[in-house]
Amino acid sequence: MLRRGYEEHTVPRTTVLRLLLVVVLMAGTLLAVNRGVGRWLDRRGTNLGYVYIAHKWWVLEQLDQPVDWLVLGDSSGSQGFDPAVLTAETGKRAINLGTLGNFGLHDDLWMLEEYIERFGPPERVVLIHVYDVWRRRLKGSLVGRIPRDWVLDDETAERYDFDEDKRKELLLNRYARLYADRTSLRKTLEYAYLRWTHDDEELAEIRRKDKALPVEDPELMDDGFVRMCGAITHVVKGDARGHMRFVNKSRPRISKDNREALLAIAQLGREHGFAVTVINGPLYERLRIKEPWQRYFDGLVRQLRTVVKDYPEVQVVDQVLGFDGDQLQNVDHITCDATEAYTRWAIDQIEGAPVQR
Amino acid sequence: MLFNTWVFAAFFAITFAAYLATSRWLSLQNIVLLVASYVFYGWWDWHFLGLIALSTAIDYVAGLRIADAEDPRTAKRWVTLSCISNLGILAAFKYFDFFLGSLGELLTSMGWEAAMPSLSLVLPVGISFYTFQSMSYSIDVYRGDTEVARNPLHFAVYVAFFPQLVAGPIERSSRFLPQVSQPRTVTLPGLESGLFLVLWGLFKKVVVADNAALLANAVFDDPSAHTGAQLWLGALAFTAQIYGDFSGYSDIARGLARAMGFELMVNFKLPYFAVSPSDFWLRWHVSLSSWLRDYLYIPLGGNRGGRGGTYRNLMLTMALGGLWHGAAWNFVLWGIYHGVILVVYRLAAHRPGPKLPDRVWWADLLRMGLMFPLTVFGWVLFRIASMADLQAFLAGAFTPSEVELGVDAVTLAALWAPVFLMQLAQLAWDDLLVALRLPLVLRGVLYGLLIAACVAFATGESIEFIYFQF
Repeated sequence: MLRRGYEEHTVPRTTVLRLLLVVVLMAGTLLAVNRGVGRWLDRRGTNLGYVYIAHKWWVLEQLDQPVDWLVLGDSSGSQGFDPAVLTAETGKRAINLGTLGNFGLHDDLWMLEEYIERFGPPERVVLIHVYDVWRRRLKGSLVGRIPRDWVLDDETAERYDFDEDKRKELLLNRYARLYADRTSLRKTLEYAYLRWTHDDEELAEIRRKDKALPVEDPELMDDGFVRMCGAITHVVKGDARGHMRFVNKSRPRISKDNREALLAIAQLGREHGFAVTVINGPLYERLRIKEPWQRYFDGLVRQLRTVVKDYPEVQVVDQVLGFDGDQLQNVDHITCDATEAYTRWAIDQIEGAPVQR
Repeated sequence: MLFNTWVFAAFFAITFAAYLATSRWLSLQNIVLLVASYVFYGWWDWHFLGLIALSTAIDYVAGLRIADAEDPRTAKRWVTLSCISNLGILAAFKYFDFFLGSLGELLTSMGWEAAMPSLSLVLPVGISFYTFQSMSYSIDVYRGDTEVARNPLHFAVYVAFFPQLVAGPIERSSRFLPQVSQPRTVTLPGLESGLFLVLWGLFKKVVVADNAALLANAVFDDPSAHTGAQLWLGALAFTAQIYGDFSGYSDIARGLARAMGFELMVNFKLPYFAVSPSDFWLRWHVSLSSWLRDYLYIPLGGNRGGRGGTYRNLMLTMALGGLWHGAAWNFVLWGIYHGVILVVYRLAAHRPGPKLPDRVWWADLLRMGLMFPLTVFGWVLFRIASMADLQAFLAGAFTPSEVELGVDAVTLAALWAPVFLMQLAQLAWDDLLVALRLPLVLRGVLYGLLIAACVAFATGESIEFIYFQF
């Protein structure tokens, strides 16, 4: 008989203790789900930026012996500089801890500080950033992603001048992943379904149309290198037009956040006696050769050299290596078949060039 | 102030604390409830507090005059005054512009240019709910179905009780006034079942309804741009949305009330398991359908005037019931549609010949299998924005198209699955609170999962409850 469901009956007997237990279990489940979702998104999320942050800090945590070069910076370097090539070429060891451009240089500084604390200074620190990252301010929500307790200290808030809103954002990103990452969670669930129901070719076509999906599933290496192999030529051209508009209307600028972080890194270099190299990530050749872009970049290099003029330990490379569209995913992210060339070129620049003043 | 906001959570926490603190003094506790209810309502627009106070004052005085009248004609005059006042408020705020606008369009279509006056009033939230609730009190006092409320505070709380003020359930004075006038007890079982109702209601609203709304809106915003399969998917999405939205609100209202020791009526009883239109109306928005039955259908003559009279009364009741939902012709059309299927089912029941056996599971399944699509089609009429859109929907919906199990379909299935599973359990155990039969540990886990889902799958912006506009 299906004509039921007209009434409600059950109102269980309970006690204060039992009710409290229900509430505790409820809270515990919520916390467990929150944590589980956070971990899942850190590994499998469609927001690759967050995946990179989690992975790179994990690489640093897992590191059990010192390396010669510590490669820091943004995702262009993360995907561009392959430590295995450095080892093959020079016998030196490196890890690539590049994360996101929106961190500016702060993530570089924090990772470097932790590295020095655990292993002492490396021989060299390489900072790989795309030219337009230097003007960005530190994004508070990203700080919440860093899996270290110090990000919540009052001292940190004071050091980086976090206001109430930034601290709130930071806390949400740190502890309330279910809330802060709900857009990512939806997209990741959708992506999981698409992966389950579509073959690689169909999936590539879906990803091509949906910009919220990762261009491909990255291969995260234990040395921090991020291997991505599919070129996306049509994106590169559109992206280049955006960059041209940017360099045409903007003057080179280094944000206060990045200036301070760069000087702090330089100071660490002086105190601990290691060299620091600032180098641009790979770039779309057709953008690189454009005069407005060259003008912007030259201006930026001049500014960077002015900032570090008192630190001979810091070398600012004024060259950029260009790539064709079929070796890129956007103007500054190369595919895996181009990483060897970029890494070799970067090594040559770093080791070959004199410290530039 | 929406239930699914942090502002309301803070508001309820403060109100509940004050409510508990005043539990020894009934009048003080009722003052807390009244103040909270007026704050809750005034949060939208404090100007409309005057309207609710006016409706309360009219029916309070009318109730006293009716009860104290020695001459039945005096009582009749007062009940008439109550009805005219309440319907007048509704007419002015909700229907005036609609009817005159429609008249203007009709005259224009006949070649007469007519500039119709317009009041352009903002529709006060929940006006249809509290005017009906307030008016039914006067009628009940007149009929002798309820005790008169001599304490104005009690009556004011009855009209304005915040959990059900803006979207029901439309309570009857005979049920609710005694709860206001007598001390309530906050019990532990009441707290837990209230907690479950609130969480389940929030889940249905925040997760099911708001997400289904994204799918439904995409289709109904431009029906002509979609294939038949997509149109039906949109219709199913709206079917899920309106149930999740409205039953979710009712559950939250009942849960909040129950936590405070009040018992509101069950407003939804698994409506999509209905086996016939009349069964549907015993399960969907029960407080309105029973209101329409008691204060419209039966006074019109009910089924006492032979088959013809019964069918006429059904059609009138359903058309007016449709109009209650909103000042637009699609609601009237939806009401008429339900009137028609009620009549058709009655005609079919009276025809000679073989019939499906009654109260046998497979026959009921067949009946549900017919009633559910009829319900879904009704929701198309309810949701459609214009007659042109309806034409586009009908043209597209019955044109064969490729059915693809895309992300939208899977999303809708995933949204509906938890509700469906819960409803199957409710049906199997014949108990709408079946979840409370789970062992303590599983209940705690279930509540945690419901909150997690509400946090994770909130659509970002707080979507207003559909029934607020009615």
